Amino acid sequence: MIAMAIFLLLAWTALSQNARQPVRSLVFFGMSCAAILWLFFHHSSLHLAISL
Amino acid sequence: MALWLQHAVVFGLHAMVVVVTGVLCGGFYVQFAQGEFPCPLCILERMAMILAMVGPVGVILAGLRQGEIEPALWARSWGMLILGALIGLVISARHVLLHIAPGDPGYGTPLFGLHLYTWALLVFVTLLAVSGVILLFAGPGAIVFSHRFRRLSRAVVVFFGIVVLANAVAVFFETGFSLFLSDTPTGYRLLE
Repeated sequence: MIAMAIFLLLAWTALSQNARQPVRSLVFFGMSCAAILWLFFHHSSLHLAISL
Repeated sequence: MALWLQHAVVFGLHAMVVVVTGVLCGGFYVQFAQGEFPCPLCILERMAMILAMVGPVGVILAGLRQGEIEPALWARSWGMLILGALIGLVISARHVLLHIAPGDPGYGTPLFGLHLYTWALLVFVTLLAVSGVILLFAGPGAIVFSHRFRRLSRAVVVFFGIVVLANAVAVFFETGFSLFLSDTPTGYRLLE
C-alpha cells in the first residue's frame, strides 16, 4: 500500500505538471518508473532466491 | 496533420484511455466476482497500465484547459506512454515466462483462453504499436482539441481517476500496512 501510494503521488504530480512544467513532470515521471522497477526487481529477486 | 485526422486521433486517444481503464476494470471483475487475489506482478502490471496512461490523460487535461495541444507536449506524452508500456511489457513478459513450462497451470483463471498476464502483455504491445503509428503522423503544428470533446474528456478523466483510486483501495486491503505483498496472496491482510 505504501509503495502504491508513493507511486500514485509521483504519477499524479507528473500528470498535473505535464503542460506547465515539463522538466518537473519528467523528473516525477522518471521517479514513478523507478518506483515500479524497484518493486519489480525486488519481487524478481525473491523469485530467484526461491528457485535457487 | 489534416483537421479531420487530428479529431480522429484525439478521439482515438480518449478511446485508448477508456479501453485501458476497462482492462483495469476487468482485473477487478476477476478479483471480486471470481474471488481471485492479484499477485505482486499482477499489481505491478496494473500500475504500469496507470503509468502508461499518465501521458495521454495529461494531454486530455491540457486540451480541456488550452483548447489545443502543443507539439512538444504531444510528443512528450507519447514518449511517456512508450516508457510506461515498455516497463509493463517487461513485467508481463516475466510473468508469462514464469508459467511457460509445460504442465504449469498458470496463475488464476484464464479469460477467453488466455491468462490475465498474457492479456496484459498484448495490451502493452498494442500500446507500443499504436504509439508508433500515431508518432508517424506527428507534425510541427499544434493539435486542435475540439470543444465537442469537452464532455467526453471530462467523463474519461473521471472514469480513469475513479478506477485508479479503486485500485489503490483494493491494494490497501490486500497488503494492509506492510510494504510488500506475498508471492501468492490468499486473503486481504487488512481484514485478517
